[in-house]
Amino acid sequence: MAVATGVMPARRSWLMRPNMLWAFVLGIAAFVFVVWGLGHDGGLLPSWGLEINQIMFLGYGAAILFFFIGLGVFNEPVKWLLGIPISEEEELERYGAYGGIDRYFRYTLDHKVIGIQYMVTILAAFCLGGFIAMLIRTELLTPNARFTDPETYLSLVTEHSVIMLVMASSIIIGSFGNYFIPLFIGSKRMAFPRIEALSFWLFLLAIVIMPTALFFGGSQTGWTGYAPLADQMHAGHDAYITTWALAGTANTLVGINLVATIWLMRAPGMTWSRMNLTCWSVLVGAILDWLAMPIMVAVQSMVGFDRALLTGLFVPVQGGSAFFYENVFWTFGHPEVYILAIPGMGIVLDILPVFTRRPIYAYRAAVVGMLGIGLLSWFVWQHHLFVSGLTPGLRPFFMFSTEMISFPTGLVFLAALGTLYGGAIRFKTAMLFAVAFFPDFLLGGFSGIFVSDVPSDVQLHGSYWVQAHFHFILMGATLFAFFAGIYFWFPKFTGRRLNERLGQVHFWLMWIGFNGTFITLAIVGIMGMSRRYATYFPYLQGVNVTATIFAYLLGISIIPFLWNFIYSWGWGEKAEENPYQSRSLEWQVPTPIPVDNFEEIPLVLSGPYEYWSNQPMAILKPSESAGTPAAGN
Amino acid sequence: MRHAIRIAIIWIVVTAILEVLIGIVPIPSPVGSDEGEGIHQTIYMLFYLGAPIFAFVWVVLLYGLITYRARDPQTETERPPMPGSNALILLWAGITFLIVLFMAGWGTFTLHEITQPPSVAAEGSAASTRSHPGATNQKQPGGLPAGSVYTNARPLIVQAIGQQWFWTFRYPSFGGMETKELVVPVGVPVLFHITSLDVVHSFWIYEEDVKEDAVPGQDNTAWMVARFPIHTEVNGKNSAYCNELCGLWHGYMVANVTVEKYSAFKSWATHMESYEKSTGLLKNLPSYAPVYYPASNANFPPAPQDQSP
Ligand SMILES: [Cu+2]
Ligand SMILES: [Cu+2]
Repeated sequence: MAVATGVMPARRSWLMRPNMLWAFVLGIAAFVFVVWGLGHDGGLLPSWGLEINQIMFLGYGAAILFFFIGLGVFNEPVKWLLGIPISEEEELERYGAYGGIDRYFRYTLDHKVIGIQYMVTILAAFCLGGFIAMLIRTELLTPNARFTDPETYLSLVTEHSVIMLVMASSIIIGSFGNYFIPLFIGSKRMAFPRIEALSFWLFLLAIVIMPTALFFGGSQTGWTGYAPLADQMHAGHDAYITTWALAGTANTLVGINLVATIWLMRAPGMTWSRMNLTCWSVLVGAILDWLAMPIMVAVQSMVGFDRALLTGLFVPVQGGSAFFYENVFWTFGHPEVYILAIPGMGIVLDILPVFTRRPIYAYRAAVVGMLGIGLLSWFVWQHHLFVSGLTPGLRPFFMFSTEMISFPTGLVFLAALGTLYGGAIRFKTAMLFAVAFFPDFLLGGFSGIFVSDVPSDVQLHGSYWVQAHFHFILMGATLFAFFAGIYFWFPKFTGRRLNERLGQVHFWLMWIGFNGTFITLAIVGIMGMSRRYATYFPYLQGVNVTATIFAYLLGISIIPFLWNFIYSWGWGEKAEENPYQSRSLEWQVPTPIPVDNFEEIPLVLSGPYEYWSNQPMAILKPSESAGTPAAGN
Repeated sequence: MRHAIRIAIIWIVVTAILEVLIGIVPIPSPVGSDEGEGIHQTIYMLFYLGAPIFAFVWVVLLYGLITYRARDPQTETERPPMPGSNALILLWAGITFLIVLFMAGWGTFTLHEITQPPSVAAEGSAASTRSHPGATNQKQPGGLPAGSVYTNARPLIVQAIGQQWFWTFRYPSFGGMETKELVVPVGVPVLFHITSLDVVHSFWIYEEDVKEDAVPGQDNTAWMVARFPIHTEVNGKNSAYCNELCGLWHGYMVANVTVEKYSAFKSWATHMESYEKSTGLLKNLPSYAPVYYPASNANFPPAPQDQSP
């Protein structure tokens, strides 16, 4: 990794080096070989009396194994075991030292490459999930199942929700977390680069495997996959289980890597209180990732055992418990919400000071707020079970603990409003998206109170109100924060700027489409429409059509963005080194960022928000300016 | 200071407008039953309480964005930090905490009111909305002695059994007879015992504000005192439907609901009971129980041929 300046050894042709193409070819071949070979009588392999679910899991297992063989993940460990030396070429390529586009299609250990891999995959998954959402809204134009049949409809609902949630679990931690955390804290690398790279490819596999459910009858459980309904599902549900097992593992690994990195790899002088809020929010999200995701892997594995090995863990007739599944699932499910939402808060709180030219207000309160939300998220899961047979005496407690979340959240709002109030606000697209986070999150919190107070939850539970509520949080807040991040940091990772005019068009279309869709759907919910219905009572048609029209607007809003993103990356206007005059460390390193990030480990002198101060945030080359801190930069 | 006063004035005006709007605009929140009253009030309370908070964030946000936008981004200089004020942070936190306390307190109080039907509370039996199968096997749900005669002084017990993809209603006070539609008297407490035979369903009568999950192997309860007579057609507005995804025909898991005068209900129920007795249906049904394990019931007699599901 340190050999960035020496003479680079020549490389073999790109086909000879392990890459994504070989990974997919081998993975798909292994899957088809196992599932088709074992699944057909008189096929290539004897069937050994295997059941379809056992064959499916074997197939996915083989696919994952061969995918990683094709990707070259096992090359180093196997060579090490056999005592074969690893060539310099391989080593350099692993760290992305050769540059070039092809490193994005390989098992590269550079955190900047992994961040981009995550971001592009997330955008692709978002477009796929969004397209399915358009199909769902199209079906809901009429009260009858005209456009699809109920089975297809529910399969699409499951596809949409799982793809979106897997995507959103990594949306900010995976992309900006991986790309920028070492830059924020003045580190040359991540704590565990190999684990970090592995997490991306597991995530990619999770996204790719979910749609394969459609070839095996789909899964009609929705994202919650409640057992024992899950035990009844077609073979397609095995894809759901595999997806969550992979995504859960990936997120656990991301969490471990980021916690270790933030805890241990900070540059000298980068104290806890000089970390920017993105860093703090990613830390909280990473801790939740690390602790909550294994629960999901465990509970889905148990459903997998039920399906493939007939263990009956969640089947009441066999002595299992359906209520137990719901409890374990939501023990993961609520922290999951904050895995998505808290990093979004951090990003927007970081963008506000840059565009208002002043420090963040009440920094410590914001940090305490985010930590508090992370902590509280473990004590609220039964609010999903208020009408599911929860022990009645526990309901007031879970009502109180859930509503207590507005307490730390209020501190985050205070930080944002205090920063805007009296600033010198510049309205760039990134700023628009960052500001929109707050009204959207407010709507999410406001609608959330209705389902946290037990009496109103009795009426609203499981209705479209809930659906609108979590879209306000996941889409209105988290996704808007993600776009704010893209517009903000695009010049850093591409060296070019996104077109402002197209950005504004994107913002307004998306904001109007989004609010129109989900405010309307909240109304549909309070009018009595249940979730996951392909059909509904005719008196609800008017509002549903309105929601669909807004949803189409929301769908269209992605087009100017995609055009802008692709065009600007290739041919956009060149950006200055630090276009927003930010103080933060990531803007002080050259673009494109060297493989090593920093020539020397910087010496951090102050926090990232002190805009009135003349002192730079850090000395980038402490060895040159030893003893004489640079002044007046 | 000038700005703070302006913000305060705008906030008060916007809040007042919002509160009036909440009063005028009919929020679709039906009150078909007594316990629905508390639910309805909670929904309205949250709207009234939320309006000033909502208005505050919007007003401060918009006021800040308009007043403090950089007129000339090129020459605009850095701004000093807003003076940190522990008092402001504590005030903010204190107000949030008080709001939370109020909401949770209201919720707890209302919850206490709506979980116990008046006459059932007197018997002290339906305090629990959930009981484990082992616990309830010892006595009939609702404290009703087995085989007792139903009068309108007691809560009517109806068991709602979810099954892919229809509801079955059992009336233990009427010999454990089974029906496909729900018929209950108006103005009399009805105690639902809700369970499922296969996967998780959820029993929801929107107009009556009744909702409780039907979980296999679990006996959940909910109650209502209907206020108005109701007659629904299939797929009409006032039906009982399934609110938890339960598979392919989840959206079609709808049952008709009829709420009628006590005398009409009584004659319907006695007629149905004697009819089911005469066809031999009652004899072949499994005995009334809080929960059922259909696949493990080895002695289950074959269903009569004329019983269409
Ligand atoms: Cu939750
Ligand atoms: Cu159902």
